[in-house]
Amino acid sequence: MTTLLNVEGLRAGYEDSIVLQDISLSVNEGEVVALLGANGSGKTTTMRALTGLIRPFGGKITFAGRDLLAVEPHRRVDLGIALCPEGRQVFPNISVEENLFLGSFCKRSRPDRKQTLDSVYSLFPKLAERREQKAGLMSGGEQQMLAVGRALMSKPTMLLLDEPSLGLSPKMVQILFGAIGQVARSGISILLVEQNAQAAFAVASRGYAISMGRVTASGTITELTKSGALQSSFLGSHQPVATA
Amino acid sequence: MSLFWQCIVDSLLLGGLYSLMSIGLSLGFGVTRIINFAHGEMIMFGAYGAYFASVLLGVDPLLSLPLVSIVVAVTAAVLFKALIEKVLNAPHINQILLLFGLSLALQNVAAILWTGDARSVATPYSLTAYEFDLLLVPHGRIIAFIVAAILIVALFCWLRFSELGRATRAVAENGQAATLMGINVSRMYMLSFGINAALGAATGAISSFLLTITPFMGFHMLVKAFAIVVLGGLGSVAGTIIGAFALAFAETWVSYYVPEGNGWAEGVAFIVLLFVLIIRPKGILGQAVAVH
Repeated sequence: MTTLLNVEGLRAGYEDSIVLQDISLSVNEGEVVALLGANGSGKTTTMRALTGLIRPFGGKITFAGRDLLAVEPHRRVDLGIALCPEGRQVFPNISVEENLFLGSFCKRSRPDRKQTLDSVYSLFPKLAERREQKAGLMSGGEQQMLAVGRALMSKPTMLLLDEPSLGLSPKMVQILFGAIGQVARSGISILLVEQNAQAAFAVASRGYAISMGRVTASGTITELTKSGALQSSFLGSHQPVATA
Repeated sequence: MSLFWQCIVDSLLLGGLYSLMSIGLSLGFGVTRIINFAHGEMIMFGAYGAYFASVLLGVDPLLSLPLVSIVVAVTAAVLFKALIEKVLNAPHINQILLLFGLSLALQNVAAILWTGDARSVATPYSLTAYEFDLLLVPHGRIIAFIVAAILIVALFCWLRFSELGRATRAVAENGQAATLMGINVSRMYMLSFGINAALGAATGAISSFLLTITPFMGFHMLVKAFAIVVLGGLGSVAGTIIGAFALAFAETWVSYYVPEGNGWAEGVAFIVLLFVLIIRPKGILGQAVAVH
């Protein structure tokens, strides 16, 4: 298996707080990897650094053999790495279909957007029903479907999912992760940030546990659950929690 | 009764001009979250552009309008890149001071270059009018209204149906999410600033045969545009048009029905501004804007 995404010694944060102390991880082609950890451990910050929404202080990120930090944030999606951000971030006053079209704004995906749109609609039939509706008027679960669909519209080779289950009903989580499993089987690599470890385990083969901006454990899902690394990453740590 | 209908017609025609005058200001705020206090100067330069095209080259303002708008748009985009881009994330007071300063500087550049003399463009349609019984409808005002309507519809279609228009709306709603879509947000800011300046310049070009052109005409129009945009709701295109017609009606009504109304009409914008800010600060169709 070839490595698609490789992160080494990533340090990042905001103006006066360092959130990521030292993050190293890798995702192979076609693999689903989970990034697990408690609130404030640095999961979302990692995602933001990968997509360029924040500029890291140090470390290296390579994607498909290219130095990602040398690529402007808005050009990264053209390389095939797409983020479905935390809190969905759909465009609320824009229709569902137009939100999806915006997902295929980049050169890479614009020519085939009609076919991609059809495949997103067959993955999430609900979106096809709601295509004329303003995105902000849909339920949280539907908005999450839209956010995932919008990221898929760029025809990524790697999908970054930041807490897709946040605030959703168990039923909706089930539907959504069913779709995520389908995406994974189509060959798209996925890096999945989740607090809902159970849902993450249903689709991921490997995982990293992070705490206080460092990777504290890594391995297959079975290894992680057996070693108890996850429990300590979610519940342990007497140190004050870094702000994210 | 004819006074009543005259008042209606005048209000409608003025409303078209006011819509075009303020739509760039409103859209600019919606996209960049910066109020362009130099918007009036874009109008002023548009008016001077049309004036010189007419006086020096004998070109009708309606024909010079496209070129004048493009020149002003490009100049504005350069100003944006050189100055305004640097304060995008600065405190509001810095943004206001920069743009207000820019406005004053541009006014005085115009005064130095072209003196403070009042000018106007004479066109074949400046002084003619349709007459229906006692109703008088000046040709110039009709033409201005039609040009404004065409440009507003064109802007609306561009925003609604084009790839870049859609990207502009996305940037206005959520810049970070737009970046994730592969949209170059700072490029879109520059584009929208240029387009808004072009709309201002077009307003100037059609004002050139209706109003008096001076280096300081922009500030006067900015205040009105500001009242309209606040009344309609900052960032809302539909709200801006409602606001523009509301102000046009209010001003025309005051000037026709209040004794000495012509003078008072100019103050209506301030009264509107005052009452909107007290009663409904987010405007008629405005969305609440987060305060940082």
